[in-house]
Order: sequence, then C-alpha cells, then structure tokens
Amino acid sequence: MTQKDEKEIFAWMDHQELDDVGEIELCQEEAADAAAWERIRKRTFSQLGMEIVGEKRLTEAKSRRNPGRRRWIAAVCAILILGTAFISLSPGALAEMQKVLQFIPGFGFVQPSEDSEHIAYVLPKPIDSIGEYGRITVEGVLIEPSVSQISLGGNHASATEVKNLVLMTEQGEYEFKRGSAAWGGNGPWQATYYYEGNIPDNGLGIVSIRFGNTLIGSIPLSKAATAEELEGFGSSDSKNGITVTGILTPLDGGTTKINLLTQLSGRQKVDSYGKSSIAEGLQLKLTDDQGRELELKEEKGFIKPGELLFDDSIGSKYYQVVIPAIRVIDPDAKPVKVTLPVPKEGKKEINVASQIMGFTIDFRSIERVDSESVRVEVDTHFDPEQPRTLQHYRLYGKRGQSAMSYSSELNEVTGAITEWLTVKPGQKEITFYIGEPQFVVKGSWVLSDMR
Amino acid sequence: MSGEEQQLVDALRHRLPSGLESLMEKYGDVVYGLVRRVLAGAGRTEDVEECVSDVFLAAWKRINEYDMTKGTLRTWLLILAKYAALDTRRKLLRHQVMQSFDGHAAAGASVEEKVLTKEASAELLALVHALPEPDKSLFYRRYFSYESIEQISQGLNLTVKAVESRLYRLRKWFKAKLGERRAE
Repeated sequence: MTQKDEKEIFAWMDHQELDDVGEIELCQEEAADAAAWERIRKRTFSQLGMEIVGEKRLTEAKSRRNPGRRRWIAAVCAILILGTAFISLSPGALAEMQKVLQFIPGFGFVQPSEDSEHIAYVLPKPIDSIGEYGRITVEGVLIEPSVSQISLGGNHASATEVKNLVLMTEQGEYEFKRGSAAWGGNGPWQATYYYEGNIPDNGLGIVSIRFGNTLIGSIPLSKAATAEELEGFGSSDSKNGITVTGILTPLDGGTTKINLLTQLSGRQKVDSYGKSSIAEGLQLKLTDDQGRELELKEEKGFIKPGELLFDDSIGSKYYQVVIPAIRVIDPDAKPVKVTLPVPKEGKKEINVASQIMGFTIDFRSIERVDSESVRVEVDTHFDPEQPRTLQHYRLYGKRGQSAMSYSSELNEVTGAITEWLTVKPGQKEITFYIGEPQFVVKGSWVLSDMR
Repeated sequence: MSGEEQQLVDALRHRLPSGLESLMEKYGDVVYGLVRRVLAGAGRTEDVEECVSDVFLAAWKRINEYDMTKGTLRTWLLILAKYAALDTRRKLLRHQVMQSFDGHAAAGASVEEKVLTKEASAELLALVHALPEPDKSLFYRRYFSYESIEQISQGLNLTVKAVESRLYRLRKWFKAKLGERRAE
C-alpha cells in the first residue's frame, strides 16, 4: 500500500458531497489566540455590515463649551466605547447620546460649570461583581437629566441575553434598555444600557443594579467634576496637528489604567498607538519615575488600542508614555477607482499612479500568475520619517461599496505591498476601488508626569 | 439536537448577531483546527483566519439550508468548513507550486475519482459511514479532517503503530471496494 493510495482517498473524499460525517470528535489542538479571534470576529461582522469600533469619539455638545477650557474639553470630551461592536442601537437614543454624553468609562464626566444646575452623577472607577453570569464589571455610570447610561462588561458572553437592567436608587427603580453590545469569541462582552427620562438626583450617592438575577449593590456615585476641577489633570502633547491625552486611573488590585484619547476629524479613528509595533521602531514605551520601562498587561478579550493596563509593584509617583507614532484609519475617505491593464501572460511594468487623501500610490507592475489571478506590486511610498505617510488601504469591488476577494501582503520593513487579485481568463483590464486609508502620523507624543 | 444547538439555530434564523457570536464561540476552535490542517503548506495564517471567517459567514447566510434530520449543527458547520478550506486551498495553490501536505494530495481528482460514477461514489461513502468503530472515526479523522497519525493516536487513545496498521487495512479495504465499483 503506497502513499499514492492515500492520495487517492484524500482526493476522493475531498470531492464528496457530504451531508453527514458522523458525530466524530476531532482532535483538540491548540486553538487560535485571542488576537486571531478578534481579527476573525472583526472581519466576519464587518463583512455583514456590522461595524466594529476599536475606539470611537462622539461629538461633543458645542453649546456646553467654554473657550477658556477648550484645551481640557478637547482632551476629555471624548467618549470611549472600547472595543465595542455596535450591533444594535436605537438611532434616536444614539443621536441623543451623541449630543449629551461626554463619558469615559471608569473615569467620569466633565461637568461644565455653566450647567451646574443640572448635576450629573458618575461612577468614579469601575467596580467588579460576581453573579449569575460570572464576573461583571460596572465600567461606567452616567446619570443625567435627560438620558442616562450604564456600561457593563464581563467574561461570560451569555450575559448579553439580558436585554434590560434596573437601576435602584432611594427614589425608585428605573429600567434601562440595552443599546449596544459586543461579544468576544472566548467569552468577553461589553454592553451599554440607557434610560431616557429624568432620574431624580436625590439619593444617588449609593445605588444598586439588578442585572438578570444578579444584584450589584453598593455602587457609589459622585457628582461629576467640573472642567475647572480637572484643569491640569492628565497629560497632553500635540504633534503634527494631533493632540493625544493620557488619563490615568488607579483600578482595584494594584492595576493602573491609562486611557489614550485623541480628537480627530469625522469618523477617523486611531487604529494603533503602537502597543504593537506599527513599523520598525514605532512602538510606545511606558516608564516609571525612575525611568524603568513597565510592561503592559496582555490583553484578554477585546483589543483596546487606546487602553494601557499595567501593574507597578514598586508604586511609582508618576509615569511617562512616549508614543513615537499613531496609525489612523479614515473610513470617510472617498474610495478611488483604479483600473489596471491585465497582461495575457507574464509580468508587465505599468507604473499606474493613484491618489487617496493626497497620498500617492504607485502600482508598479502586474503579473498574470495563471488564467484566474494576477499579482500586483504596489508602492505606497511609506516613509515613517514623514509627518504623515500611507501604510495601507482597503480594496473594494464595484463603486467602492462591496467587499472584494483579494489577499494582500505588507512588507513591514520596506512598506511594499503585494496584492493577489482574481481575474477571468482573457480579461484585459481589472478595476477596483481603494478606500479606508491607514496612515501613520509621526510623533513623538510625550505624556509625562502622569499621576 | 441539543437544546443549546436548537437555540443557536433559532438565533441564526432570526438573524440575531448574538447567534453568530455564540456559534463562533462554541465551534470556533474546531473549525479553526480543521481549516488550518487543510490549508497547511498552502496558506498563511491570514488565509486561515480569512477562511474561518468565511465559514461563519456562510453559516450565517445559509442557515436555512441546515437540515437537523441529517446531522447536528456542528457536523453541518464542519462540512461547510471543509468545503471552504478546500476552495481556499485551490485558489492558493494556483499561486504557487503545488505542494503536498504531509503526503496528501494537493488538489484535483484522481483518475479513479473521475471515472467513478456519482452513484458508485455515494455507495462507497455509505460503506465508509457504516464502518465499525474505531475504523469509522479513524477514516473520517484522517481523510475528512486531515488529522496526522499522531493526532489520531492521541484522540482515539491508540498507539501510533495501531493507527498505522488500521489505516493500512482501511486503505486496502477502500481500494478493493473502489475496484469493485469501477468494475461495475
């Protein structure tokens, strides 16, 4: 019996139209890591038109801005909905939230002084609870006159079956509806619940939450700090037109969290602050007051580009974060149409130039690999020494709307990109669209004296 | 079908994203493992991840085709995964020199497969399905899910030698049955 016999069986089996292969157990091998699952999950939901948002900034309420406090408001009036997939959300509620919520989970809410007659109550820092659905973290609470919000997270995704929760105060019980929710492949989840209406501010010092059959009690809320009170808090630095602010929050259990915030235009979002290297040498560095480098805790569950978690057993007085570069994605950039000639056979130098957001992309050559595929060499002129440089993009099919079947290979050292595209036999041209540019903005942003 | 699987199917048929998320959580590892084995030697990690994503997208889109009387949701998903992985492998191998995977056929049907009628092939498959245990599991683990001898050995709690020996006999049996059907 030879290897040929085995090949025959593989080939035969590969061509069977199977309805059932029996209830066999397959081998238990090492599963994909959390980062891989996050990528798979992100791609899957993205293909279904469900947006995965790593970090999202909601528009601040301009009427509440005070020019004198602009610097602080600019830094703090951003909402972080960390690693959240917006799967369902009442449009009306979202619009309302966008107007009024200026909320950072686990940190608080900036209360402009002119609105002091409308006191907002917040959760000063996240609290943990164990119950029916495992660990549940109350990540943030914001009680406001018109719309209130509670953000929860945990480690057992079945908790997302809970569609409503009840906030219990001295004044009564208030049912919050689920707005957005996200699940991770290995169990982590986050969800936001909202209440439209007025919750009396008497007796909001200690509240409880009923979540399914779990009671999360003794939740302390405090009045939101005003912008004046926060003046000088946190650390900001501006480079190349972008301000990055770091806000440090001590958590329970000796862990410290730093939220990194930016203000970008439109729907632009920071895809990476360099927690993982963006390109050679472009990785952020966290040090203590003695200049010792601190290691970031490994991320479990959702990837949160703007959140740094670390333990410091020595107890530094202050910390410094140096961010050499950030990578920004712009989903609003208008897709650009590209048409390339397809050779009958072999490789053809084409040098077709295109531009997206002012970045030049040169399609150097195209090679017909076989009757149904071509390989395209692309030069984005990636240069990390430039203030802004294009690193990657996304390809689309017709009119820049539909996803396109292709594979892409980025050389992280040279920045060169190779695209593998599908063509038909005899096809003479190929047309596609380039969108969602991912560009690297050079820093460095130095966030010092963070305490 | 278990209550949990029924809930999953219902959630998917009602287009609830939580159903897809639960499906990925429950069967993600087994799908990932199968896809990785089929693409071994042909694709990169990104190809595996993309293919796994495609499997769950297919499940989302085709859930109404799932027939619980034919098998469990897990089995249906594994069959989708196998087809998706084979499809991806064929595409990938167009780009590169044909590589053999651990002695497996890289792609394409053998001459025997091409001349075997659909009916004969179905009969042969029924015979495979009727094999006694552990031979049936051994056959599927090897030729459906591309497990290595070592993986099968661990999974079925047999020695490597025992697995090799049983596979040898199975190949011999298969060849004989194949010959009978070709002769017909």
